[in-house]
Amino acid sequence: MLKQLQLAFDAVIYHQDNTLLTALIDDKLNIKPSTALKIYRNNTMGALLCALFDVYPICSHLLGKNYFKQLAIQHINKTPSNTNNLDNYGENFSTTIFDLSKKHKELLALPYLQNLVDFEWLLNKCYYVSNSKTFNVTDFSRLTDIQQATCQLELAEDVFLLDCQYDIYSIWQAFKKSEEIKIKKQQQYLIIYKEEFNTTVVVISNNDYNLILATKEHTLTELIPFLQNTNFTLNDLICKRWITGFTHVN
Amino acid sequence: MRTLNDLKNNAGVGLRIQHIQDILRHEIDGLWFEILADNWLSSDLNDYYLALISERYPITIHGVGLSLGSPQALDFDYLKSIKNLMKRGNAIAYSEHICFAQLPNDHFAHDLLPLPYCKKVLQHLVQRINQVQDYLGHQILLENVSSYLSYKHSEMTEAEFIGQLVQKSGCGLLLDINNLYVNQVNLGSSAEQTIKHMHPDWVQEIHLAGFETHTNFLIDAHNNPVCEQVWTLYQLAIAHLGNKATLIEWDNDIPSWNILLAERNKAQNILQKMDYQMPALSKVSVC
Repeated sequence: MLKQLQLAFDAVIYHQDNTLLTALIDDKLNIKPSTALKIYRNNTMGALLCALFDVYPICSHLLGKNYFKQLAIQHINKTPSNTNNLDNYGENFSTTIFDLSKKHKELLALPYLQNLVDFEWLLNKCYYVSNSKTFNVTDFSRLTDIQQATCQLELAEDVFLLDCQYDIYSIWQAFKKSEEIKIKKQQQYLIIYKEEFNTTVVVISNNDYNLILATKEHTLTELIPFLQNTNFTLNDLICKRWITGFTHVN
Repeated sequence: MRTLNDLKNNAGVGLRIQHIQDILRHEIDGLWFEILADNWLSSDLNDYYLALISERYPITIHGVGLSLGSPQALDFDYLKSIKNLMKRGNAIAYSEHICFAQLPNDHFAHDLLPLPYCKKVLQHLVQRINQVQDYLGHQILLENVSSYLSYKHSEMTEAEFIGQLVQKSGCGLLLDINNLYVNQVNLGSSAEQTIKHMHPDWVQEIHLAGFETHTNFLIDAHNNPVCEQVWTLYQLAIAHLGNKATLIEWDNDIPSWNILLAERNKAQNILQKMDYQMPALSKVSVC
């Protein structure tokens, strides 16, 4: 019975199909069945819309509330929530934008949008990640030379990298200061991380980006070529708490 | 260890980040806070705020994400995070809803969907509540939900269902008087009769909230002050059940701290007024 009820509500909420649930409910109330089901559909839609507006404030500002709402509704219809935590909803919004831009010419005129959507998602993700780890220098110093050479460093859970084709950093700054937003095409590499409780964004060089990215995939010895012409040493990355751990094979 | 019974003469409010500076400015006697668990499960900043508040005031935790009525297996990762949150906030109690929110294919409604009042559902819920209480190691409270529909195959009234649920599972009841009133208007049930059906030992906490008025129905939007009819029902409930820890929920179009506090103070005054006049039953009419 509960499975049948779940299917009926899923049909109402995510597929605009009232048939199953209408057959299960009393039709002699003050409130008409069609109205009741519309309320449930609107409640879910409202919660998810609100979540998307919260995650993507710069996009909604640039697109205008109504246009953004239409995109968000299409995203919700295509991507029902599969998380019980609303803070985690909206991850694939950039895929929806990409798919819709094939059909809607006006979106093609906003080529920066996908970078911006990716950026805002990472800001949101960073805010909710908890990271209390710090690099344990004592444990690291106990490794043998061979273990150190072959160990792999771990990026902090609240560190995210973004490779953009537009000056997203300036858009973010202008939005925060309520200034006019200017869109500039420019290759940009960003690191997004948390400093105390604040989500912080820093523009880094291509070499810095490649170094930080490489820490996820290479051993310490393999990182040596990536350290050339960078603004950071590995020690800097540890002091900034961008690297908070290491793994090694015994 | 404090219990909800220790707060029976006190009114509290739902904790909102935007009020924290005001809350910390003046200590208020008897105040307590409920946090909506799902908004506080992650983020270091939230943990910091939670520590600031829980050092000064009692905290309870209210969840919307457990989906007790779903047929799927319970989400123990979620329960683990609730357990951790209770520890971090030194929480007195944890409450959830008599509803389901999870849908097939791992979809979620982000809403409190009503359950049919029948024996099979009762049995399912009792089993799940026991699992949760065993895992957490203490009693939980369950809240009655507002509804915009009733099921053809319900076998008992909401009051009978709740009564059996509490007695068979050993959980406590969080009686939401606004939800009873919304259901009275929407479904034609009697809020007053439901309250009278409740045994004083079952109810450990009361919720009050405001709704949104439409032509033929009410939406439980928590975006307005508590209406007069609900205040009247609240006084009836207190007369029947005795004083109970009472909370004002205001989750949308959130007002300033002073407005919220004034609303809370109305409940506090009712709790303090030991020689109140019991209102005539006929005063409880539909808006």
